[in-house]
Amino acid sequence: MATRQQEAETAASACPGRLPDLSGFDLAALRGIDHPVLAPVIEGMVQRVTHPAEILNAFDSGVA
Amino acid sequence: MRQTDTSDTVLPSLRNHLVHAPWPYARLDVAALRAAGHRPHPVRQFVLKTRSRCNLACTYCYVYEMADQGWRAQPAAMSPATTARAADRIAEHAAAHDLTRVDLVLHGGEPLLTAPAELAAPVDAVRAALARTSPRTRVTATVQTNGTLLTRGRLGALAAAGIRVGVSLDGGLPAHNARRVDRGGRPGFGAAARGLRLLARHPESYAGVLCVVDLAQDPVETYESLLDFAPPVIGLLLPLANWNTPPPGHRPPRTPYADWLVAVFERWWHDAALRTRIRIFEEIIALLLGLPAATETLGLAPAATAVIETDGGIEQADSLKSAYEGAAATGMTVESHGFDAFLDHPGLAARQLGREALAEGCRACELVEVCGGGHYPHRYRAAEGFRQPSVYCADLQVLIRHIAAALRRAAERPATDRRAAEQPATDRQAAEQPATDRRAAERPATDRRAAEQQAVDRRAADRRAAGPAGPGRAPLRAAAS
Repeated sequence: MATRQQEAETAASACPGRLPDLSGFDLAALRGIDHPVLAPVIEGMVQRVTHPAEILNAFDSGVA
Repeated sequence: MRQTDTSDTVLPSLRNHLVHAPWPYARLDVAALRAAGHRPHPVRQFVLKTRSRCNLACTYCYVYEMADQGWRAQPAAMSPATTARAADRIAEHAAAHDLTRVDLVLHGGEPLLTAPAELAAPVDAVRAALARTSPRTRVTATVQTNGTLLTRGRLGALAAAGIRVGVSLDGGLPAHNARRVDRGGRPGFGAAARGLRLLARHPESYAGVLCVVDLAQDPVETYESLLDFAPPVIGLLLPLANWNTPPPGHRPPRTPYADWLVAVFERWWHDAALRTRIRIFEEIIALLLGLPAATETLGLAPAATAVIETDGGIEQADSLKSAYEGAAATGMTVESHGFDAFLDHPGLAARQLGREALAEGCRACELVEVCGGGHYPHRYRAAEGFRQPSVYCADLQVLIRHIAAALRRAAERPATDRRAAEQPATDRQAAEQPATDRRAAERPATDRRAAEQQAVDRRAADRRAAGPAGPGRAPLRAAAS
């Protein structure tokens, strides 16, 4: 069993440095990006904007 | 104002929850939540445990090998009467909430322990009930299987019913699947691999592969071996664990699970093309960009899944069974309760609270909109409940920061003028087509693309207006303590 001390240390053990500022980047800015993996990932995410009601909080023990 | 259900079947379950998980069961006042205006989110995904037994006995299985042993009391198969009642309840819920879509997941146990002719029956029953009660609601369906019983006959029956197939496999080599054995200790890999090779020849039926991370296996080898089965999606799962039963290799401040996943990410990210989708990476990218998540393990989106047990019991997330005996139970059944009653169960209400359900440290963390506090079962500590950070908190921090840095580096590259890059191909196609045909052919695609871009631009404008933290949620301090 992990102790409460370990739990507190885990929560506090953030990596050094801040999260990179991504506020200037969004789908509109990233469409057309020259990156062979990110480009199709971004295109796949357009559905989340055009059809938000279709996005399911997907069941973890299934891959759909 | 709806009160917490205290009927004869629900109360014993609640008493058990109070002992093991004071948060949320003792400290979340659902009636006060509703009075404060916090409306429940409807269930949109229904997991039907059509079979309670499995032909494998994977050593880490949350159904058979962890805290909850409830499977022993279940019938082997969901009866036709239970299936019909479940279908009616699903249709009733879809009609009440005007759902455009419901998602069905056939699960278990092993759902393919069913004759091919009977496999589609639960989905057919739901479709028929919806046709009567909520004809605008469409159905998507998958079956999650260990793949060992996936034959041409079963795949044909599933495909005919529009049911896609997800397979659980912990890597593409026998050594990766040493934990996936039957009760005699015999490996299930050979049969599972045959099932996957059959599925790979039918991509229209192929939902993907679900793989539990094993630190004892090389991550890149595991990933590359799975590519041999051409999965459209890989779901990489952290082993179910909590503060009382930490995952193998858990030695803070080390982050072995982040290290494993980062190794896969680097291989995936730096490839010459997108070989497959990896759900956890894409969900982190989506959340970093302020988009809605499509997973229950990350982000702050409300839980929207109900599990219907083989005997008709309505349960919370299956993965809760890793916490304590009865952790997923509600005492409700499809016979006695509709899904609206399930929405007011404290266990589900807590998982629809978003940030307010989290530990204080998580609420203040700059990563909270992405990690969401991590997967709910991973937060459990005995006699306290589910309001701790995830036992994987440190790993999630490392992984999210790594992906954020990679995303930023990629985004800072000079943008490609896509129209210029595509122009030669476009010119060639234009020359080959008569002018009138070309204009007619281009119109629907052009219209769709324009509509998509307008929606994307609106979303971008909304996000910029909301600021770096994104759209906030009203605090619920009066209702949750």
